Amino acid sequence: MTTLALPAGRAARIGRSVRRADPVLLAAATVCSLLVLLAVLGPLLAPYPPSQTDLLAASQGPSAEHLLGTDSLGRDILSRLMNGARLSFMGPGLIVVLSLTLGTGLGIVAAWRGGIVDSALSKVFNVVFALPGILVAIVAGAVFGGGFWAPVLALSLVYTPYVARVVRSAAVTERRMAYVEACELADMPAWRICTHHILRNLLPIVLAQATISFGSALMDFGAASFLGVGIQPPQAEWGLMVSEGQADLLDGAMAQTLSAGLMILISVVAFNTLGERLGSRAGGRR
Amino acid sequence: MTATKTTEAEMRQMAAAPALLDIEHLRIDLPGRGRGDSMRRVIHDVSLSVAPGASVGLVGESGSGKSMTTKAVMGLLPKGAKVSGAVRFRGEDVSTYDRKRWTAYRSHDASMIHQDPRSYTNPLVRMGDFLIESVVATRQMTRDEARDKACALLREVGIADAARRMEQYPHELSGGLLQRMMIVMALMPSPSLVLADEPTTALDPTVQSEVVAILSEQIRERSVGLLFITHDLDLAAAINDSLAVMYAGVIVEKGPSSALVAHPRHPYTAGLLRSRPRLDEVEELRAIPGRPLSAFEAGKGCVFASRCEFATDRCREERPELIEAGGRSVACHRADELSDVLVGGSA
Amino acid sequence: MTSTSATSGTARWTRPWPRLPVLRVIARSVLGAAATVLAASFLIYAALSLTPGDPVDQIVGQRATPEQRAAARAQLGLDEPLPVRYVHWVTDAVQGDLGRSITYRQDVTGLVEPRIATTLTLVALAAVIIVVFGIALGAFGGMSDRWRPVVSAFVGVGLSVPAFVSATVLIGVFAVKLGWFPTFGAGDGFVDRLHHLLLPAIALSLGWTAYVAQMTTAAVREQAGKDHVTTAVGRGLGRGLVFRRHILRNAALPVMTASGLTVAGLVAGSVIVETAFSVDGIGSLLMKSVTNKDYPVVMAISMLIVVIFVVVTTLLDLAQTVLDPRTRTTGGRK
Repeated sequence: MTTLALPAGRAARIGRSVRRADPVLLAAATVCSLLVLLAVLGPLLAPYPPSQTDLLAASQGPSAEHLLGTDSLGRDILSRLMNGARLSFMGPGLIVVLSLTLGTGLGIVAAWRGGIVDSALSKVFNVVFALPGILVAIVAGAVFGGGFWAPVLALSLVYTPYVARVVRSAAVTERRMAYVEACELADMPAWRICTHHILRNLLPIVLAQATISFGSALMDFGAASFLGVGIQPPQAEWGLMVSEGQADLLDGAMAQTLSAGLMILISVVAFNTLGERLGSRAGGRR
Repeated sequence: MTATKTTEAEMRQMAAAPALLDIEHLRIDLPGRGRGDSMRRVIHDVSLSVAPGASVGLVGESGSGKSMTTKAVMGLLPKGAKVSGAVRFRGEDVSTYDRKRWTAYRSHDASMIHQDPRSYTNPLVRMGDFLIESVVATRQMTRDEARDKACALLREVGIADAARRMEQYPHELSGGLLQRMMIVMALMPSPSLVLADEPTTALDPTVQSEVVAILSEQIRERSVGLLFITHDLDLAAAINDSLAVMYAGVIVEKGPSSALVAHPRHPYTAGLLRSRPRLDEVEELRAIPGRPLSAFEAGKGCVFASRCEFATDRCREERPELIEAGGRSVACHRADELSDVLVGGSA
Repeated sequence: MTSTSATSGTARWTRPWPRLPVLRVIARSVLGAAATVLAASFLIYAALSLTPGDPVDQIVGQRATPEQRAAARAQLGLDEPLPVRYVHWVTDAVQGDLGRSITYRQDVTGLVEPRIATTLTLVALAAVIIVVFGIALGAFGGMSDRWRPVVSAFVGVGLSVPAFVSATVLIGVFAVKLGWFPTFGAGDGFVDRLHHLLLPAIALSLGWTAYVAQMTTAAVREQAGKDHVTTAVGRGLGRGLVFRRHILRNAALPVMTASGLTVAGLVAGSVIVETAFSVDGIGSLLMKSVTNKDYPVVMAISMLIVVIFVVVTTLLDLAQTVLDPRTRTTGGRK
């Protein structure tokens, strides 16, 4: 009985650990929530439509009308930043969801089945590990000609084995726990043990992995747009804005590059910090 | 109590010569592990001295603070440790040492043999380089001299193929062999004091006595002062001239080995003697009730009061001083009353 | 391990060096690396062949007669099934023939060769910056309580700045505003080349320096807390000696792994920096070829990046086995 009660106990502990105040964790979580809120509400709050060009007001510095100035086509940089949040977060968000789902599934399968399945999967992962994320995104861009889905699918593929490896090693430990044996003796089907018990116990680790991958996905997705194999103009996305701002750089106008770069930096720092804190909590309880 | 004339004479002689190592009312507090934790007391009051060429056994259960005492002697206490009292080497307080003096003291005057030779040797350094590195780095010897001396010492501790062993890495040696290497390491600079912190605990029982024999033989031959730390009262009594028994950061009893084992004067010492299995007589084995306390858990009274069958209200209220009488010292309010009650064993 | 009586005594001992396990480890990793490269190359080859649109159009134009098209197809080898074409590609590639560029109408090998020196210079420069600053910062962070917060702040920010952001900001500040460095190109001659490549190398190295600093800090802290360091301190060894011989030496393996991984990743990262700084290396050639749909070039450069990555990581793996005496004598440990 006590062994079967373990998962619930753990779940309660996650709740408690979040409630126990950690100022850094709290700050990171606040910034992350604000950023997500910006991605949702940004387009509604932005003072101008993101693609409204005004060639008469092109390449202006900050003013009362345009708080961050305008780009070389006269578009309001602040509005583009606020609108850009959506695509900049949706891409990485989708990458995280896809790679996490696939990676967690494969990781648990590898741990549960072991043997040939495990070693075959690890061989496949080794091949994917040899492919740098940005290279796969570039090849995908070459094949599909850029856009939203090419980098998302490419990067999801590349991120999957990283998730799978983390999940697998945690699941292997979990598999040896007494409560799993108790479930097996109780004739519980394997998929049910995996989803109801093992997965639930791995949740803190998966969550931490998700936030950390989100940070690097944000950078890689932005890089794809920067290189021209991701989001295409005239859409607004931070990586693309850095690239567009580079042209103005030679005239000494740094507002667009700096502000978009800063948004990426803040987001990555916030999500990495959050993931790291969650991860050390998840790890500390093992 | 029954101190013979010879021991009294010996004691007077010892008192006249300056002690090699003299620890006086040592008290150590360590910072807590978590942030905001208060200081934890690990040693309340330790006084003991080692005369030149003499060997003293410091006996206590784990957590009694005996390892911390050796760390204080070697200046290896963790950062933030608060120390009061004094540790004197040849009459000189080590707390006044500057970095240069520490180097000279650690590399030449005093050596330490640690508990687990496996974790206390660098896995990436060959044994030969390990043995000679301190004396070479502090220019006591040239490389060649040091290698020759190491080879000679290795043979003395019974390692025949010295040249080959010096080319090996720690993981290639057995625990017993490695601890013999550590004895050689400690003797390399010809120190006048050796501290041995549970040198045999991590070894297989079969090689323990061998290593102890080698250690005690080497120490005696060179008339090196030895502070031997162990939890094993019998072992300590067998190889040391005198013993100090430690409990929860306090020395509760001191005295010559044979007298202390034959006639314990502190209930804790008596308890230790009673709780060990004996081969020569069939007798009920009696463990000391309760669990050993750590120093920081001790209240204001006698540290042993909570487990002592003779404890009175006074014991729980007032901590007894270590009082010397006839070459023996004991920290117990009821020592005189109990002298006939406590039974020892034969040494 | 076991001593034989004949050899003890006067006979001088040679170091025990069991050859077989090491050779077996080497053989196994080389085979594994080759398999990985093959599988990766097939993946990329297959992906690129999925491209919508007919590459023949680019060569003969859309108004070509069916006969001309068929001839072009046959010439490109496109009339054969994918696995056959792949095998042809691999056999040619192994012999140094990476195919012909469609846009440049020139052998890919000839296109790549002059540019690879530029890229490798950039990567080497970045690697030096990473190793020197990463290990130095990490050592400070690991040994000094006062420096640790500074180092960890740098690590936190450094790991969060994408190379394309640091590249553009560096261009804006140091090349345009201050005018200290040229904004683009790779320069001629050694000094000029360094001058041109220094800023790109800094942009490329920032994140990886933070990574190496982080790994070094962790490794140094772990080693500094080990018991054998207590032994060394207790024997009166000086601080410098304890740090070099007993902390840094033992921390070297994880630090080396981290540094090596960065070098492996740098070639891929150089694509971004070369594009930002318009440095004419294989990275910017890759991006141009993607835009021009010049697939033989894309394929060749992608494979080059993968091969460098796999070779470096395999060498790292082997170096670990050979350098750690514990694995050396037991022949690999898992």
